[in-house]
Amino acid sequence: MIIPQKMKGLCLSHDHLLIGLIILLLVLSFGILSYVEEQQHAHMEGWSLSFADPTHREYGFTITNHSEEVNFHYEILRGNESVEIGDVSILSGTKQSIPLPFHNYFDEKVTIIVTTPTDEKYIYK
Amino acid sequence: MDFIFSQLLLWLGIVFILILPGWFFLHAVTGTLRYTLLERSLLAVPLSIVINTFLLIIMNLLHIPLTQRSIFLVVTGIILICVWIARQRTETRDDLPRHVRFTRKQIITIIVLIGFAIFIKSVYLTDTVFPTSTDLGHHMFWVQKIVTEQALPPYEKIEIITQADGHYALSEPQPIADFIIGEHTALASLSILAKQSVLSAFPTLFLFFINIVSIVAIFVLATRLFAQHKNVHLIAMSTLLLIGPLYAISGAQAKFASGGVIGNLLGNLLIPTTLYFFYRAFYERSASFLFVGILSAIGLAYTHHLSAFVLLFILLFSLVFLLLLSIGQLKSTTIRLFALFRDPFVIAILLASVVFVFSVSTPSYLNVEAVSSSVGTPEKTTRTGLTPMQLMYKTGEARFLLGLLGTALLTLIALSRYFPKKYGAFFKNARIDRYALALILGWSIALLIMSLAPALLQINIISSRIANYLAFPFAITGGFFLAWLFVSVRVKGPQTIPLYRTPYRLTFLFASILLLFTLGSGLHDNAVSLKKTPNVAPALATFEASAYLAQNLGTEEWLLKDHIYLTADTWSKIFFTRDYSYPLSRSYLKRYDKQGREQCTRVMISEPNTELAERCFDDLGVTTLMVDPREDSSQFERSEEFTKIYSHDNVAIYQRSNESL
Repeated sequence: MIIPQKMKGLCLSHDHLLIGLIILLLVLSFGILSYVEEQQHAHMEGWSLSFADPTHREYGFTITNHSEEVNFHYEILRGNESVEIGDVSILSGTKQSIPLPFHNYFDEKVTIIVTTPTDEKYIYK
Repeated sequence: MDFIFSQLLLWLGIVFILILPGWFFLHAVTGTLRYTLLERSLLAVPLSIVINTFLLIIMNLLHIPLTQRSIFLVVTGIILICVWIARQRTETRDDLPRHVRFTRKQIITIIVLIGFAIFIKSVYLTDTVFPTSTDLGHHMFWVQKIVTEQALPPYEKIEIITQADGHYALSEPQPIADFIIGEHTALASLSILAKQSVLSAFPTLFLFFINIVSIVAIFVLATRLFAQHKNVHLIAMSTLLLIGPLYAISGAQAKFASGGVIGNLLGNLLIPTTLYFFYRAFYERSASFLFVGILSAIGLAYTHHLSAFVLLFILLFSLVFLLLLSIGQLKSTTIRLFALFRDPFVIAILLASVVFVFSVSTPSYLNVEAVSSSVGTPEKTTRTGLTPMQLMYKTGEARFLLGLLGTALLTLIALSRYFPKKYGAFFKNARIDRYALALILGWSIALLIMSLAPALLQINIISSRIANYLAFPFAITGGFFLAWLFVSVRVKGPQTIPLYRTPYRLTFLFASILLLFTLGSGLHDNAVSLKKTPNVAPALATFEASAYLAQNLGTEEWLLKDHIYLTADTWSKIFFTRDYSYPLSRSYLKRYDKQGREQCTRVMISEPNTELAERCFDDLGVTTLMVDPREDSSQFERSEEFTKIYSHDNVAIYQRSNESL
């Protein structure tokens, strides 16, 4: 196909224009999608309770907070007996570890119960 | 600022890994004057992917650690070698092929079509870009393994085996054929070089980029195939309409990008790339194009087995059609085809490919078992072929209809060459060279037969997977038909359409209805494919629990997680990057009905207090279980054998108490 005379002078710039605009659209799109995904990482909900050391006879625990709750009440049970209670404030997006001075309760199940005005969680070993 | 820096790094990585190597390689091997700027920019991407794959394989064989520095140096070295080779070339304008150029208005139309396609896909991906997809999670395990261990991994996994005495054990790592190295090399290189985390939007963005480049590849291929046709511009733009903004999400499009169907998406780019080079090689009698085409084909074999299999049939069918279209000149056509294969560089790459494939680095799927399971008379209903209706919905109703009509029209054009006196005048403006015609017909008809009647070709593969490939050739043939219809309508008067003598107004009405149907169908498909904004909180909970376990579990302890109810559980592998099977996984319950399937992973969660479960725990060394407490908690909490070490609304972690171990 013979290139018409009138198009010859425009040839180079059209390809550049096309490629440039495709790249621009992709850059914009990538930026928006990356931003959206990054923002979604902040959508963690709720709070979690875990043992700081799950394998040994240590009973320190960690509360990781992603909820709107701030005030957490905890109670430690040895068997059915309550051995310690306490309160802790943890801002959303942060976590706090509560070490416990006692350990090696070979004969009894230790339960950590943490409550908020709307929720309760427990772990045990 | 971190965000902008990360984006900048990503794009620098894309340019350095996915564009520059291919760009300079083309310059070195085939010169630059034989392409438009758009073609060269586009073709640089698949060639860069292929080059990157082989580079990493060779580096791995030479025990060179895959680090940021080593990859940067090696890629830079390749670029410099290509620049040096290119400087030795002399290109003359005497052999400059004719390029198709678009007017300013046409360029604007093309930009609008591509822009619309990017927009629709982006809208879909905003709801699916967060990493939760199971398939993508499996693939990213291997990418993370490459990044962490700085070496290409052997594709193998530990399995649960039943011993003769009825006890269970974990096997030594066994090879798996599900993954091929080319699916992971580009992502790994980008992750290493540009410091991109796999647990982010990065993998989906990479696949999105590949999808867009594939669309442009189809457009460029259509432009090249119909370059002799006086309506090439309209054909190319119609093709772009059918493959770009219409049906932009379903099928092998944006859904595959978020779903992590990496091999298929890369195959959809490498197939048209390979066909482009093969076509130009035979049409222009160019050994250098054949060289690049063979390289692209071998690269595809190292990227996706199914795509390579499909390409093989496309080439076979194309060859058959070429011979049929060359009945009067068989000898000269055959001589012309074989002449190219006598070129020393073509011989060299063929020999090198054979040696590489069979001696140096054999693709994981190239074994007797895998090949024999894919060839033969299909027995399962999922492999005996789709019905025409199923294929139509798979391909997109309008695209299927237009593609079929276009294929029929091209077949008539091919047949008209045998009856020039009767039909030659009607098709006199259909200037399509026989190589292009053979390729388009071979591509379309091969996939039609493979999708509808695979038994004819002794293909024993899931038919719906093959049908995914039909959209691309049908976009080209459908684009041809649409363009033919538009031109027929533009030229008024019955004397210009002598064959069917249809009144102009009727033709115009038919064309308008068809266009409306096409637009409506394609856009409606996009609309129904859009998802509601998902709640990513459960996935984040899984990630946090996995990070906790990665910190606190010993290397000898085995973890079992649930796949049925936990969200994004597959991605937990990335936090450990141990074996592909780590953590072990309870699959969907119906999968345990299969004869010979191990039951341990099921009972350890579903019935943990039974004798079978106890034996599984002891034999396999599973100490820890990660489950959704809303579905699986009571069976653990009523037992003295388990402790609960982690509690969240969406995830709970139980451990066998020390007395049980």
